[in-house]
Amino acid sequence: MMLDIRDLTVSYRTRTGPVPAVRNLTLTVAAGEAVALVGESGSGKSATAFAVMGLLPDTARVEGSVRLADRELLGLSDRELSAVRGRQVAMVHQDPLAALTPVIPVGRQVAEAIAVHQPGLRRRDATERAVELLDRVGIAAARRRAGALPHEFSGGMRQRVAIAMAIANDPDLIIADEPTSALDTTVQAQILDLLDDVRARTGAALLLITHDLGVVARSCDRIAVLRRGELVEQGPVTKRFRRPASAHLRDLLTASGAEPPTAVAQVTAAGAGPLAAAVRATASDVGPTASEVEQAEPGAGAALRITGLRRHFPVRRGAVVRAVDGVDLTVDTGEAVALIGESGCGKTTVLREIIALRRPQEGTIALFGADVSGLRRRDRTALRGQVQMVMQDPASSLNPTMSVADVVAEPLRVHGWSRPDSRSRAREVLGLVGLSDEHAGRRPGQLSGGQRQRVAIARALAPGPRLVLLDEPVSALDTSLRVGIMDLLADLRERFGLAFLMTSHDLTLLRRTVDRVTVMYAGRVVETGPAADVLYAPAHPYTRALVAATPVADVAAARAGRGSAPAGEPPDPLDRTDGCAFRRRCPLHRELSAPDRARCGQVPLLAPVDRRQVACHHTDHALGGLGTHPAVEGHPAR
Amino acid sequence: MTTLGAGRRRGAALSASAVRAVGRLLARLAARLGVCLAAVLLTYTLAALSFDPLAELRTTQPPTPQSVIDARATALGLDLPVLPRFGQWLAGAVTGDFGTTADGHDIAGEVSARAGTSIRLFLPGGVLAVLFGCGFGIWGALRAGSAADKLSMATALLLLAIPVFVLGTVLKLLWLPVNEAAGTDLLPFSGERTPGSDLAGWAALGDRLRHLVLPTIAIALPQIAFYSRYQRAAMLEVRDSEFLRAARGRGLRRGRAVRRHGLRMALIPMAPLVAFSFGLHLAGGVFTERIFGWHGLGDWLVTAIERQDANVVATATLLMAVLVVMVGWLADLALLLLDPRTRT
Amino acid sequence: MNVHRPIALTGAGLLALLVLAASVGPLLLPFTHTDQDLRNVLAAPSGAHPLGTARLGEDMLALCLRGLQKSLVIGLLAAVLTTALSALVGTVAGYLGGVADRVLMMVVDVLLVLPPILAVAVLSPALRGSSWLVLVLLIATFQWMVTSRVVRARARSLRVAGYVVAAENTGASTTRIVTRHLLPQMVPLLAIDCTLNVASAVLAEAGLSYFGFGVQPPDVSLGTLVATGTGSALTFPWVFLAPVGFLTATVLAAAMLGEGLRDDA
Repeated sequence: MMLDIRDLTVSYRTRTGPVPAVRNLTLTVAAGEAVALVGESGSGKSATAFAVMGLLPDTARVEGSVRLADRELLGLSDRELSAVRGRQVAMVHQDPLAALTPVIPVGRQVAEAIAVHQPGLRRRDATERAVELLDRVGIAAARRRAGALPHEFSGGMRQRVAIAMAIANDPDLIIADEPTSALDTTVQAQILDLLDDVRARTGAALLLITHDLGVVARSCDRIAVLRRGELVEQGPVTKRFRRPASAHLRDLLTASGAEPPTAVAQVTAAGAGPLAAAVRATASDVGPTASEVEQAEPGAGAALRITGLRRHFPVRRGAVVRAVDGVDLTVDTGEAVALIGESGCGKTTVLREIIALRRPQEGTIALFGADVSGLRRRDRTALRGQVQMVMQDPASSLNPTMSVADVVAEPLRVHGWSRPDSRSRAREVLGLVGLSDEHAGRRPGQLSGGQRQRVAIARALAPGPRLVLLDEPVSALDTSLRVGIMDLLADLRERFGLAFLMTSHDLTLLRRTVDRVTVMYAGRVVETGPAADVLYAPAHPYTRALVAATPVADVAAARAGRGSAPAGEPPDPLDRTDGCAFRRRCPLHRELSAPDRARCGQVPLLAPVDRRQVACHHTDHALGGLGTHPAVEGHPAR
Repeated sequence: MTTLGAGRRRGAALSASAVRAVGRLLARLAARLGVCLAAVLLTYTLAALSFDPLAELRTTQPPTPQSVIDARATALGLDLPVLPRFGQWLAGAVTGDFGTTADGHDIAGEVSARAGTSIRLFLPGGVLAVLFGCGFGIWGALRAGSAADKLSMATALLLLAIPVFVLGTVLKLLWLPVNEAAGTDLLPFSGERTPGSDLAGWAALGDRLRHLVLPTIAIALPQIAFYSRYQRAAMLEVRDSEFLRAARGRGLRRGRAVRRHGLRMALIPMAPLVAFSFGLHLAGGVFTERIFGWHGLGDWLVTAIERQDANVVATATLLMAVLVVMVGWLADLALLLLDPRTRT
Repeated sequence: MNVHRPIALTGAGLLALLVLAASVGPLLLPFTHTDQDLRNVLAAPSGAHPLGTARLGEDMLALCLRGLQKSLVIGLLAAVLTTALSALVGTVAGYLGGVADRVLMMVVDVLLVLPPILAVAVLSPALRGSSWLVLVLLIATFQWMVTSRVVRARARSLRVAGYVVAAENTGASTTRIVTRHLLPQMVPLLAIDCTLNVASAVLAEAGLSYFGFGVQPPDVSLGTLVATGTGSALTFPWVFLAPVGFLTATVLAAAMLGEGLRDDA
C-alpha cells in the first residue's frame, strides 16, 4: 500500500476540553490509485489530510498509525518529515491564493520547492526547471510569468502553480484538499483535467478531498465517505454510486441530483450532436410550462421587465468595469427564471440593480408594469414590499446581534408596521418556512446553516412580495441541505404565486426548479429559453461548455466529459472586447472558415432559435445544422 | 538566444516597475508634505488664537502708551489676519528666514543647533527601538505562551504604563548609586557633552557617547515595548497562515519556512506603524530632552509656549513635522522594498 | 470579549480598588491634602505618614489620593468623550465613504502629525484660569484620531456585510442602519478602546500637568504631583515615587483591562 492509515484519531485541545475531529479512521490508497475522501463541512476530511502531512497545529492530538510506503509517519521529527513532504507526498491546497507566499515571485517558490530536496542543485538549474514545470502545467509564457507575484495570477492559474510545485519532485502521492471548490465551473474542469494529466505522467496516487460527488465520479477509483469524523462507507466509486450502503451517501447522491444516466450522459458527452435533438424532444415533453403560454403575449403580466440594462463601474486610471452591458430580461408573474454564468459575468449586478429600485445607468427596469426611474418616494417604498431579496450566505446576511424575530420583522418595521403587528407577522412567516416560536427568540448564531437560510427566506416573505430575487440561495450550504431549501422555495412559490429570479451555478438543482434559464457571459445575455431546452440541449457554444463542465454525479457521464473543458478563463471584466466576447475560448470559432470567423468580430445579437433566443452568429453550426425538430415546430421562432 | 531575450525583457520590465515605484514614492512624499504643512498651519493658528504677545506691555506700570503697543503689534504683524500672517512666515521659512523671536532675536541662527541636537538624540534611540522592538516581537511570537513570552509581554505592558517623563527620572534614580560609587559621573545625567571641557578626538566622542546612554534608553524603552507588541501580533498571524503551512508542506523545515516565507510578511505591517506612530514618540521625546537637559526641538517648543512666542512655536513644529515626514517617507520606502505588491 | 481572562480580571480589580481609594480613601484619613504638618516637612515614610510628607508637611498619601481623584475623573470623562467622537467620525466616514470619508481622514492625518499633547500645550495660555473641564474637552479633541481609524476600518468592512446590504435592500434609512446594525457591532470594540483611552487620557493629563499646562494649582493631580516631586526625586525619592506609583498603577490597570478584553474580541 502506498498510504496506509489505521485507526487514525485526531482531536483538538480547546478551552472547553478536547474536540474530536477524526475517529478511528482506517483508509488505504494503493500506488497509482485515486481515492476520494468525501464529507460535508466539519466531517474531518481536511484534518485527515493534514494529519498525513504532519502539518496539524500544535493544539491537535493525533493517535493511530499513518504509513507511507511502509514507513510510519506519526512520531517522526520535523527534519525527517520535511524530507518526506514535497518529495514522497505533496499537497494541493483549497485556496491557492492563501497557500502561496504573497511577496515571492511564483517562479522562485517553484524553484525553492525543487531545490529544497536537491541540496546540490545550482540556483540557475532550479530556476530553469521551475520554468519547465510552469510550462508543463499550462502557464503560457512561463519564463516571463515566473517573475510575477501570486496575486497577479487568476485563481485557475494559481492552482496550476500549486500543482507545478506538487509534482516538482515526482511524488508517489498527491493530496488535493478541495482543489477546485474556489474555482469557476469551466476552470474546475480544466484543473481536474490537468490533475489527470500529471498523474498519467508521474504515476502518482491521488487522495482527493472534496464535497462534490460530481468531482468524485469524474476523477476517482474509490470513495471513502466521512461523517462527523467517522468513516461511514468506502468502496469502488461505480459500485457505491449505484448501490450506496449508507444513508448519508444516499442523501448526498440525491442532493447531487444523480439522474438517470442516459439523458445526462448524452448531453455532456455529445454536446450538440445528432443526439441533442432527441434529448430536446424528451426535454420538451417533460417540461411544458406556463411560461410558454405567457411568452406568446410579451409583457403581459410581467413581474419584471428589463431592457438594455447597462452598469459600468469606473475604476482607477480611467478604466471601466463593464459589469452589465446591455441586458434584456423578463420574468412573468409566478414564473421562476434562473440567471447563470461564471463569476464576473454580471448576474449578481443585475439583481443589485433591480433591488436598488433606482433609475439605472442606462436602460429601463419596470416592475409590475411601473418603470422604476419615474417612481416617487412613496411609490418606491410601496414597491419595496413587493420585491425582496435572499442573499447567498445566511451566516453573513443575518445580523448576529438581533433576535431571529427582529431580523424577520425588520423590513416590516422599515415599512412602518407597528411593533406588535410586525412581531405577529414575523411569527407567521417563520411558521411558513418551518421554524417554530422557539426559534424566534434565538440569535442567528444559535441556528444551523439550513435554519439560517430559512430565516433569510422568511425575512424576504414577510412584506408579502410578488417577486423574490435569490442570489445563489443554496451555494453556501452543505450539499445535503440544498434539496430541502430548494423544495421549500418551490413550495412557497406555488402557494403564493411568487415570481423568482435566481442566480446559481448549480445547474443540477436548477434543472428541476426553474421555468426559464438566461445565460450571461461578460455582461451580456448569450442564450435564454425554457430551462429544459437550455440545460439539456444548449445551443450557444458557451452554454454547451458550461453544461459539459458541470460535474455530474454519474460515473459514465462524468468520465465521458474528461478532457473536454473549454480553453481559457472567464473574461476579465476590465478587458473590453469588441465583438463576441466568447470567441477567444470558443471551440466553434476555431473550426469556422475565415469569412465566418470574421463575423465574430461583431457583437452578436439575440436571435430566435426555435423556442429560445441565442446570441451567436453561427447558431446553425451550433445546433449541428439539424434544422427544426418536429417537437418544436409548434413554436415557430418569433 | 532565448535567455538573452528573456533577460532583456526582464530588464525592461524591471525598469518600468522601478519608474512606477519612484513615481509612487514621490506621490507619497508630496502627500506627506501637504499633511505636514496643514499641521503647521493648524499649530500656527492655535498659537495665534492662544498667545497674547502684547500682554506684558499692557500690564506695565506706568501704562505703556497705546501708540507704542500699536507699533509693536504692527511690527509683529498682528494687524494682519492669521492666514496672510502664516503665508508671510512660510514664504520666509522656505528661504531660510524663520522670522524673529518675541524678544527680537533671529530664529534662523538657532535652527540647525536645535534640529541637530534632536536628531542626535532620536536617531540612535529610534533605530534601536525598531530593531529591538521587532526582534522581541518575533522572538516572543515564535514561543508564544511560554513563560519567557508572558514575562516579556508583561514587561512591555508595564513600560507602556510608565509615563515618559517618569522613566527618565527613574533611570536617573537607578543609576545614581553607580555614579556615587564610582565617585564620578560615569554616565552623566545632563546635557550633550561635559560643558567647558576641552576634550578632542576620541575622548570627545566618548564623552558624547556617555552622555547619550541614559537618554537613549529613556527614548528607546517605551518604543521597544510599543513595537514589540505589534510585531508579536503580526508574527502570530503569519505563524498560523496557510502559506507557511504550504511552504512546510513542500518540504521546508519549520525554521526555514519562517525565515524565508514568514519574516518578510510579518515585517510588512510594521512600516506603516512606524510612520504613523513616530509623531507620538517624538512628543514623548520632548520630555526626555527636558529631563536630560538636551536643548533640542522639544525643549525649544515648550520654552516658546511658555514665552508665548508664535514664530518659534511654528518653526519648532515645522522642523518636527519635517522629521515626521522624513521618517514616514523612509517607512514608505521600506514598505516598497518589503512588499513587491505595492510596486505596481 | 471574555471578561474572565486573568489579565482583564486583574486590571478590572485594580481599577476598582483605585476608584474606591480615590473616592472613599480621603474620608478615612486623619489629614486632608492641604493640612500642613510643619514639624514633619519632607519626612520619610513613617507610621503617621505612610508615604511621607511633602515640602510644606502635607501628607503624601492624602495628596496622592486627591490627585488620583482628579486624574481618574479627567481620564474617564476624556475617554468617554474621545470614544463617542471616534465612533461618530469613524462610522460616518466608514459607512458613507466618498467625500465625507476623504475629508475626515485628512483631518485625522493632519492631527496625527501634531502630537495631541503639544496641541493642547499651545492652547494652554489662552485657557489659563478656566475650569479643568476645558482640559477634558481638549484632551478628547486631540485624542480621538486613532480610535476613529479603527472604527472606520470596521465600518468599512461592515458596509459590505450581508446584513447591512440586506437592510439597505429593504429600504432602511441610514440612521436605522447606523443605529441598529453598525453601532451594536461596535460595542465590544468601543468598550475596549474606551478602556485603553482612559490610560491614554490619564497619561496625557499627567504630561500636560507636568509641563504646567494642565491642572493648575492649588488643584492637584497625579501629573502636578509628579512634576513637583521630580525636582526632589534624587534627594527625597518618596515625594516623587508615591505619585508615580499611583499614576503607573492607574494606567496599567486600564491598559490591562483593555488588553484582556481585546485578546478575545
